Amino acid sequence: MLTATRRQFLRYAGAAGATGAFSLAGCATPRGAGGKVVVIGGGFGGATAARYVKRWSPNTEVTLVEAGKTYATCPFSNYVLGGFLTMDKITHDYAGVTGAGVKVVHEAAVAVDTAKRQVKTASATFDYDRLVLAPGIDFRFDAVPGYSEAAAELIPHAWKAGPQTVLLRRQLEAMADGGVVVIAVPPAPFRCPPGPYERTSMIAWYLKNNKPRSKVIVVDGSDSFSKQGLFLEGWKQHYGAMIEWVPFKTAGKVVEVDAKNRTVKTDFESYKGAVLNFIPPQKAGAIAHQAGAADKSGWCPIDFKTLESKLVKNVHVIGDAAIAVGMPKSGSAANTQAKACALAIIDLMSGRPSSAEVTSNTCYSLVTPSHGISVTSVHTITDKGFTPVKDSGGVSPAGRDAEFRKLEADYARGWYAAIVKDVWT
Amino acid sequence: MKTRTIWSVLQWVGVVALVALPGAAGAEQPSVGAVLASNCYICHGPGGTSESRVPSLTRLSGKAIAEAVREARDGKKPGTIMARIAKGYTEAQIEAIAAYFDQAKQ
Repeated sequence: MLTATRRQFLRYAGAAGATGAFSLAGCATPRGAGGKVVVIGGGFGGATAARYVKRWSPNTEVTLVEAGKTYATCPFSNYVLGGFLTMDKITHDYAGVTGAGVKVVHEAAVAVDTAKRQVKTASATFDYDRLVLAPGIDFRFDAVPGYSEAAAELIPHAWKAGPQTVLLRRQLEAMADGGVVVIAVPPAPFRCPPGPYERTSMIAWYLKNNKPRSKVIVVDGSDSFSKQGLFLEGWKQHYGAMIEWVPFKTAGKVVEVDAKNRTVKTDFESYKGAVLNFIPPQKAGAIAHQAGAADKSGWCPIDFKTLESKLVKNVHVIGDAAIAVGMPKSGSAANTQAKACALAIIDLMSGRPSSAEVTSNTCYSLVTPSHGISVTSVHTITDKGFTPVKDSGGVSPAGRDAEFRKLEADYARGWYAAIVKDVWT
Repeated sequence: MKTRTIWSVLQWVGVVALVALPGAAGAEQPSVGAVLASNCYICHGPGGTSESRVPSLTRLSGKAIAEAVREARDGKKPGTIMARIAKGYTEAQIEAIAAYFDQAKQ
């Protein structure tokens, strides 16, 4: 309590000090103003970071480097697989980001020179005082024998929304009634911990209504999963024997993938699907590795208070690519980390220590289009990580009625509309 | 607890003074309330304006927002997710968020 009070006092004193500086210097701008921030990656983390640095420090020049002219979100992409949402509803442009005063460059960042503090694209070089890396994930195509980028065209991962989502949807549509869909889940950590189980639900929803003799088998790289109790309760209620979940202890490790025969081989079993959704192990996006921000784990260690890389100076890493101890790899987490990071950058550029204190996560999943469940958490930023506040957060209560689940399904749609506006539109 | 509340109010007042100064258009530090409130936007919409079933915050006074958060936290109002979220914030943080929404309306 004393610490919090003291910190708040110091911060107040800091603000007063700044006021004094303004009075003395007339129209002089503080050190933070006029600085240059470059953000690589226009997803939930990167686009948010760019917007919030600009919003909270209008004099800072902010450039967002993102190859795609539009961004298709992983959240809600499972509903395209479920057959009740189209890709255009989950695809957003950068009009809102540009409108907020961020310079958006639609080119791939090909190199980061951390010594010169420069980002290079094919046609230009951008200087920065502070760089934010928000590259999301890349796949470990070499992690499992038989798997490759070419294999993913036969057995889609659909773990980055876009053409892969459409491919998987087409395979589900083409499948005959009575077919088996196999979903292979990698060991943690991976993007969106409840994602595979929401996907299982959405594919089961489509099959139940269109190909009711079919089945979904989940071959899991773990023995437990996010919102497990709520998913199992919902599956029993809506899908019965249609879904079979095989935990790691039963199947064992995936040892080989046969893309042509849509078969995944594990230590103890072999699972052949009419459709195989093989979700590969993951790592931080390529540019984070090129910049020297990723460690042996494939992810990026950060100082939690500033979200600055522990490996390269003046480079911050947010979202899925970061080792954000205590937080999941989710869109909401990336969004609130981006805001903490924006604040930290403004503070650091103004010669103050980071005043970022709080992040949060809110994550909805649908079991059916009208059965929603959620997990949420509030985090205090400490030296140890993003520490969940004691006795807060957690998952939806078990055993609630249809009205409760419907309300959470509606809130899921509300969350999506809200966060998309906050990030892109 | 009381001390923290007082300081957060002072801090808010300080930031308002800073914003009001000529030449300080690019106030280079957002208030604590502005930063905390930004986490509300992921469900309640940017600026607290919701266009879904999630309650909009812009129609409410800061006092009403703080009261709703406390009621959710203390289980005095039926709800889904907000009780779990409300327990993650201190009284001073709730006050700072409420003050920010009041300020934003002006």
